Amino acid sequence: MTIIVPAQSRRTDRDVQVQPMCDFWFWLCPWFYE
Amino acid sequence: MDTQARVRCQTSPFNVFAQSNQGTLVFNCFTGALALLDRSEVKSLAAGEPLDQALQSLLINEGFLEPVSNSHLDEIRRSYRAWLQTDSTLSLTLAPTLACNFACTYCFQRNLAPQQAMSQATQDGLVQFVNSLLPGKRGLSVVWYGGEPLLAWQTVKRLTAEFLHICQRLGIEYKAAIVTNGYLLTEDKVSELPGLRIQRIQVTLDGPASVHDARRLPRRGGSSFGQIVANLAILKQVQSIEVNIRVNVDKETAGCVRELLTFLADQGFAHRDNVKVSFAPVKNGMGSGEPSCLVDDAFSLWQARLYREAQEFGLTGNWMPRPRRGSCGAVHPSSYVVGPTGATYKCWEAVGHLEMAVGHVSDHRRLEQSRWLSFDPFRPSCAECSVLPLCLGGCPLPRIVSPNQPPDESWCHLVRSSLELWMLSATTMTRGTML
Repeated sequence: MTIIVPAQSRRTDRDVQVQPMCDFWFWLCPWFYE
Repeated sequence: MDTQARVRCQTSPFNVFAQSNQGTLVFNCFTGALALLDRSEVKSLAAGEPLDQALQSLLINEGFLEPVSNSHLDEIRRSYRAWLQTDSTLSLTLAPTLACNFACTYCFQRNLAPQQAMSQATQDGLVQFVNSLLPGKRGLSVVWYGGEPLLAWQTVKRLTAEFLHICQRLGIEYKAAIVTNGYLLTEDKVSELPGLRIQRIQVTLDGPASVHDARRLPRRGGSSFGQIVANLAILKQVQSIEVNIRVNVDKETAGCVRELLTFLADQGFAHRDNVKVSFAPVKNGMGSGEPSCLVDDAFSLWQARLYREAQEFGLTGNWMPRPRRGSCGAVHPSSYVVGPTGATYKCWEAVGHLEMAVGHVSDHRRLEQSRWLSFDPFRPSCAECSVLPLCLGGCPLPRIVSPNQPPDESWCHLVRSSLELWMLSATTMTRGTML
């Protein structure tokens, strides 16, 4: 098995922040942008 | 001794597989791990019985296997509840005006009261609203929104002074962001941003000058691209401010985004820590519908290609799927949107639609947000979906506005097709751990 991208942190401060979002692309696309 | 090797485990329901010419790719939507497997590894993963302890440990650590006693879905449910109960920050999106100096061809707010601005009495009510809700919190987070918030710059400054005063008195953090078309973001305003604690800015460009100027039209006539780019050139020098250049993508703009990226790189926007380009679909907002919108699979294809190109130009970071622990602020009890009349809402797209208001700043005790807070990301079709950790049920708005409508699965297609495209392109990344 070759790990290409390792598991990300399971819980970070950002995870529990409340981000007001007009849509899921706001602020650098929260779920598809790192 | 490795205790994980003794754990009874099973295949994570959040694994997504894709076939590449190098083998089988597996991505775990709960942990964000991506791996390339050979045939025997695929078989043992499918059976939940790895060949040896070392492989089992690795598969558990990366999330491809889950302990039977503590499933990933259980963890996601717990995390979501924890997110809902996190009330350390009061999160406000404030529209000090619905007026806008642009008349964009596709704007979802174009039919709203265009000259509506926040009166002094409403501003006072808003300050009192914040005063009432803030005790016990550790911070206040504000996003300035509109309309065009720079048209109400004095209101932004006055309210910021009030908010800073309250936060200082309570000894808590204050931070702000702004969504603006950037046209009025001149040097004098840029110099005021740090004092207003504005740390993030989103400015939209719709393509290179010729395309942008045909769509994002100043009401007073003329063009906007040159002025916005000149303002961005000043803004990018302020290292402490994160600038997101949002590029709206639809059938008209998708093919010429590369021209815009080339231009931005030539103008010195590339390889800067504080400037990033992102792409968003022009989509049907409340009450609007545009034939030029890209349907989801088409947007996915463009999205993957455009991020790859932006990355090559040094205009974006490493684009990758990220597991979520919470949903949109619209369904969180400590998050509100306030329009210029003082009406409070839960969703940005609801601003100006009074039938969607949950209350008014004049009475913080009467906020009727139960239908928003009851949003359930774990409805059966979502709880069984392999990409649930990436979207947590997607945008809550359609399900809250039209609970009896069949589920809108356009988000699901977008997530899945984007994910597969990303997995296939990610094999060119630097390899990590090997077993």
